[in-house]
Amino acid sequence: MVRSIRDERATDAINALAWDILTIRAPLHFITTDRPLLINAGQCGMLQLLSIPLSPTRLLFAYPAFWRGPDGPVIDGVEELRQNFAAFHDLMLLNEQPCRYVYASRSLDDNRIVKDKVVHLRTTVQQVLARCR
Amino acid sequence: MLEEPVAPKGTAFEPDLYGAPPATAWEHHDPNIIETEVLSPIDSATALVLKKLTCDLPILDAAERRSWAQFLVSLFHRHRDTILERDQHAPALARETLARMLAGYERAEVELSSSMRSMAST
Repeated sequence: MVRSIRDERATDAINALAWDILTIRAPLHFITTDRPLLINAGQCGMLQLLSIPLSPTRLLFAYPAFWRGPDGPVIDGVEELRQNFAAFHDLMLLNEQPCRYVYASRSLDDNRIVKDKVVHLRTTVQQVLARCR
Repeated sequence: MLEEPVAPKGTAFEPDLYGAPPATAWEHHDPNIIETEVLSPIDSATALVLKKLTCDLPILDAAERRSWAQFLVSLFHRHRDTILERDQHAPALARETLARMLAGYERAEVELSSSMRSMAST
């Protein structure tokens, strides 16, 4: 465990990514879990995307440095990806990382509207927790 | 689903999760050595970085980025389930390691006796 944590290759891989802070506005808020770190949005393969909620309104989003120029993303679709990541992070986190605890800054409901879609967050949390216990 | 307001501190706390008690009679290290020597320093450094990351204009220097990256790496390895799974395999791994060491020791002992016999005969 200690050797793995101190493995500089892993630290270097994360450090080499570009890091952005994505924010959302109330009433939306990020949830987090006892497995808060999401890698590649749950997909396998070498490290490309990494995200972790920092607070109810902020999310650290890391992606390949060559996707970003001095003034922001330089590859088509990156901005859209960032927006979707922020909008649907809760669902990705819940569905891709088996968790035992979910933390939210306010009560969860099933009426969250995200990008014109109704998100049944409370039901999703219930299903995920039932699956993992 | 059990829903209740909780303070972040101590949430999902698991006693002795990172405990590493001495496995042999000749080891005398602190059972909490992983917590005190490895995780606490990472977490302390990270707490300061988190404050910066959540401020309006987060700018990190190289050391702070590295601290945060190492904290993220630690998250891969410190979840309760990951540790319990690893702990389940530990006894078998210890037995295999001991058997390998003893086999090596016996081999070395045979080779030593053999070389001593040949030295005596010359």
